[in-house]
Amino acid sequence: MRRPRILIAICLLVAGGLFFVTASWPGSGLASVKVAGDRYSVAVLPADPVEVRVTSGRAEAVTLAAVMPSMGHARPPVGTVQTDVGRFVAEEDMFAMDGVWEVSITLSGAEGREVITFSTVVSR
Amino acid sequence: MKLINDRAALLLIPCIVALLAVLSLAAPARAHVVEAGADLRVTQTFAAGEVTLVVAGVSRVPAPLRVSAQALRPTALGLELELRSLTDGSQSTGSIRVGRDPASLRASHAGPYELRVRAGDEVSVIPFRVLVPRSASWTMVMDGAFLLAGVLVVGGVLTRRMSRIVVGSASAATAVAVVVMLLAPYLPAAQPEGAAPVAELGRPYAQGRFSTLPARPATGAEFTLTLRLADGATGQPVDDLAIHHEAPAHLIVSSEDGAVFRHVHPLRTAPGVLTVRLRVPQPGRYLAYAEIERQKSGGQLVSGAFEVSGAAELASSPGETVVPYLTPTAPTAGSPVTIEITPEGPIQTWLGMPGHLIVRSEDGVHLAHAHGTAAADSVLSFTLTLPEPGRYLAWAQYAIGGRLVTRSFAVAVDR
Repeated sequence: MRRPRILIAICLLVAGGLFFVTASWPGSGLASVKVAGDRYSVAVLPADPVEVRVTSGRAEAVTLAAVMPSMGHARPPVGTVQTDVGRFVAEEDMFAMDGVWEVSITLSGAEGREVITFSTVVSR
Repeated sequence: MKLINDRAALLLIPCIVALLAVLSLAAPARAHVVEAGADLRVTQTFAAGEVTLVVAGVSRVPAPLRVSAQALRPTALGLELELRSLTDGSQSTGSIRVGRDPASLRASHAGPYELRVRAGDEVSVIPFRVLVPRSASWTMVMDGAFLLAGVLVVGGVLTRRMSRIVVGSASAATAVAVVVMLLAPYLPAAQPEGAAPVAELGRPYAQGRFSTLPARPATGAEFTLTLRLADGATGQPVDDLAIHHEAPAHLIVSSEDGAVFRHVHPLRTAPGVLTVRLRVPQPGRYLAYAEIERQKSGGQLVSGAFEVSGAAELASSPGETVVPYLTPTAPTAGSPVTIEITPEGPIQTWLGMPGHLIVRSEDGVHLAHAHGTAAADSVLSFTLTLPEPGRYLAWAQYAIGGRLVTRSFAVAVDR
């Protein structure tokens, strides 16, 4: 009678351990990427449609361009629409495939023009 | 009782083996990042002198980031430093003198940073990443299981209550830990905090274009040589140069006849833009070669040429020469030749190597950069293969007593 209880306890322990591992596995969930330039700082949600939140500086226009250096892909620049104060959403999808993309954000506004670049992993 | 003690001993053996296995795992060294046990060394050629900046590795954040400057030749050169986070824009500043105490800048988090180094009116912007080790989730499971097994066994022995439950639980915990340990090579290793996302595919070649300011430099006058690097596929500026042999780029400039030679390390002034200030004593055509290495890619040579006008400076010395010892004495194309040089004294490492040998074919088509080994601290030995018959111009470089020595010679390959 006691042995099955022990077995159940061990099984629960192992299952709990496995749940802990899978639950805290890195890469689950999309996080915004914070990038700072000299004049502006942004937080970007790097998935189609890309959303740029300007956290520092007063940007009036934002343009995005994506390249995939390892594959030699460059995508045409994409305009954005301002949906809220300091919040810009890409007008078109940018990422043609999964992988590591380099995104250039061109911001212009009261502080002048600046290009901020960052790399991100895209997996859909 | 004896049976229980034997069981306990049997349980302890895998625990000890596993702990030793875990302790023996060491972090690999990286070349273009700052992390625990891995200092970043970047050599930059300013007009006032060549400096190697050393950014000491950190094992946690926030932490002071110690930056110091070294030089072969002691100088009083002062550098202004500005560290800027490319994540939140936070800044910290400091100033250092070559060979003196390091400046303590502040790294508040892991991730990308930019170090601006100002020497007089020259500014170099060095991008790098601060990495902080992070353990994978499965290692926590393994460690926890080993800990549980250890506590049960030790507790059982001390309290002399080695019941079936204790032995069974300890065995189960050990089994979980051993299974995870055996699966470890197939489980994903944790990326350090702050690491850049990288594709395993490598990068396209870079295209380089050299230019000078002024467009036609004059002998004896300082001019700026600029190299603009563009991605061979997308045309974007190449801003992912790995620090290799302590510099993002090694630039070799030589006059067509080989009488003038420079091995310098240009400053990154903007993404894809490398500049260096030079002064040459002879007019004529100069050949420039930049050795670069894009991250996750192999090395690459980018070449160009420029013209210098004016009269030859009368005071210009022809440079130090050497007669090397060659094996075989008459080198043949396509076969290795060993070139030995006897330095004047004990060698110091320069750019992480005891010696460098630059070999250029007379027509400038071929350029090789070999690293030497110092046998018995008295002979520098280089081995390389020259591809075709012809005359090759060579420069051996090594450091002695705080001085960089460059000695030139020619190698004739008859057949």
